[in-house]
Amino acid sequence: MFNIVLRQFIFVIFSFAILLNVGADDSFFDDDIVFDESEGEFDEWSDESDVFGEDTSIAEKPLSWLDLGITQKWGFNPASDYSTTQERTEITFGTSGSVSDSGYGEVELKAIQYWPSDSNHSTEKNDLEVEKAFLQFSFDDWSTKLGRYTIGWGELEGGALDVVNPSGGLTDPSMLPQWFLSATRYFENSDLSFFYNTNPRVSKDKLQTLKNDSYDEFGMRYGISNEGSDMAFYIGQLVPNDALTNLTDGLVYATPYNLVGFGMNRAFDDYLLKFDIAYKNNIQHNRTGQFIKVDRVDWDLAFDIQNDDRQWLISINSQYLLDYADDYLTPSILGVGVSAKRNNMSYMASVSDKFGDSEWKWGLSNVISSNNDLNLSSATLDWDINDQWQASFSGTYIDAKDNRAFAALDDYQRVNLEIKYQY
Amino acid sequence: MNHLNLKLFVVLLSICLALISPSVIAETDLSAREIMERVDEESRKSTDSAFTRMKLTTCKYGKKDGKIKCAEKPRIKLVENAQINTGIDNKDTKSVAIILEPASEKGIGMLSYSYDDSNRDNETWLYLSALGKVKRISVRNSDDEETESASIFGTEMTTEDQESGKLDDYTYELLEQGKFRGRDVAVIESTPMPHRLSKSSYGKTQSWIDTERFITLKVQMFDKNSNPIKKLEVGKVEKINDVWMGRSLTFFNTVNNRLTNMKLEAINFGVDIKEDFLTQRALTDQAFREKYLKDLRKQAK
Repeated sequence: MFNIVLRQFIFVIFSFAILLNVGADDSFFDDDIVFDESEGEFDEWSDESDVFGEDTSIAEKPLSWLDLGITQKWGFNPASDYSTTQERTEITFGTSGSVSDSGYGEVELKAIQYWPSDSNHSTEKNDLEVEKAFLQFSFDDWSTKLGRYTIGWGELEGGALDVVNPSGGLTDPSMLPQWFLSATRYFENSDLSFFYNTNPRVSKDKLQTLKNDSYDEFGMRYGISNEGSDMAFYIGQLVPNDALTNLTDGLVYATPYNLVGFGMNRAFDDYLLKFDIAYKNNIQHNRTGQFIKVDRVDWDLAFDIQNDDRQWLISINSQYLLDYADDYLTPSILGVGVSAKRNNMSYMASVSDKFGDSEWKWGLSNVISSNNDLNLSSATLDWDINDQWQASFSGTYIDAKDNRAFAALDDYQRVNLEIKYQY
Repeated sequence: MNHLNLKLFVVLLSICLALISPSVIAETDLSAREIMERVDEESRKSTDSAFTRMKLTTCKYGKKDGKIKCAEKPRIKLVENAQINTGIDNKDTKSVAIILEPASEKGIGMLSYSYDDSNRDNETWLYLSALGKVKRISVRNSDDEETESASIFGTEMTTEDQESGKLDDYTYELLEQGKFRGRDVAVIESTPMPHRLSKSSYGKTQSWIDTERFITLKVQMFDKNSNPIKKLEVGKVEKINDVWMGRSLTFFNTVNNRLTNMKLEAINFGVDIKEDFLTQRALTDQAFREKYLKDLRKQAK
């Protein structure tokens, strides 16, 4: 009797155990990784799985304090049988880190070797410059920064308020650092910053000598950050980033002007609206037989559109002369005066995206400048080979009106290749 | 004989119980929504006033000897992150992330504010030292169903994967309960409400929730046509400061066959991170940032 009861009991327990297992949906509790159809199914996933092999350890590199970069650049002119216009090697050495308890510093030196086929070789064969060097100290709500670095004003790069640091020019928009002393006072949702520069950098032709180049530059910015929007007010005395040729005496000048400005951004869904406006007082200008000072209002409006990794930027920029006469002139690149228009409009559209698992990035841009006097198109292709190596390929074409200020750039063609190693 | 039978009975009963015990499921009485609320609550404990140093490893993967392997040399980023919960009921988050490695991206900082209220759009700023300024970046908030969330630092993690809260934006269904990796789990399907669906990359997600520890062990993400597109596997579950958490999260993008593993190399939470630190100043004032991070690094485990 007992055996019968026992057998039944065992049967019930086993049945119960089996039922418990059957009750669960196996597909939920199989510990596997299901991939797309082409990959089929994999064996059991375990976090201990050696997915990465031995490639993921970040070994302490020798000279870990050193940031080293080596860049080789080539440039060719397709319009002239692909003759070499640029062949240079740039080596950067840098380091960064804390300085005492409340300080931080960075330094980066750049050595450039211009090879014989480089267009610069005839004037200089090599160069050593301080690319970046600053010390920053922070106390309570205050921060001070002294050294050579970049200060960005305004919302749009190259826009109405982006006037502190000069750029490398139309074909090289990268910012050139300058020596500054700056201080910032931080408040709850705002900050007030001030900068001073005793020797502003001015872009000009190497063969030209700047007249009266001993002006100081200083400015103040008050920024406010709100939910969905940032805004800032600007005031300053600034030295033009590009020297202006005086058509009367043939010399180049960069005398200070005064600026009052406002910039803001606002996020709308995927869009970021950017707006800058600046009133510029005492800007030098040419008119027939005179080198005068005028007032101008500059503004720009831009839309930044992010769609996955694809980014669009569409902008419009205006420079409107408040004082104007028909004999106002603009010097051309070759130093000849052409008639100036009261409202100088520029348009820009660019798009960039990634592909190939984000290792490749392409970009296209088109700039129509100075009321269609110049039309610049460029394309870039960047290859992020690995964490140390990057390669970049770009092409630029300029179409310019032959009777206007940029006539010398008409049919400008360049193909550039750049390979960079970073340690 | 009876004595023998009794012994046999005890032995068999022990064997049966031993066989059964792994399959005994401690079914929870909680509803799917209540489970997800507990998960959200536990998750907030592990992110509140948290400082982490994480290694993000990304590669294209393939199958070798039945095991998942990187099919290429992986890309590695070392990132430090400081985060606090703030706002009403501490349901909003503010965080700042700084890239330490590789050298080409060193010093890039990202400040993010994430809001629980679905009517408030999340905000992100980047500091670009070459331009000398902080830039607000547009993040996906629109109703365009074709767009996807932005990738975080070029990994397979997106801003949407990092979001917490917004529980009211989803409906929850308890699909199944059972054992998964030796733990009692509930599989819960989260379906975004129509207003949320239009902003999401996912049509639904299924989460494997440990019903004792209330942590997520696995998530399967589906597109809007119910095709599986991504999977998250959580590993190295540890109890730190009385909070259970996974120290290794692996995102598998099953469409492009790439994965990103996020390993928490150092973590501490409940540390004193002031809201003042999680502002744009943390991006522009490196002296301020380093001074603050030095203190946090000392406290990290």
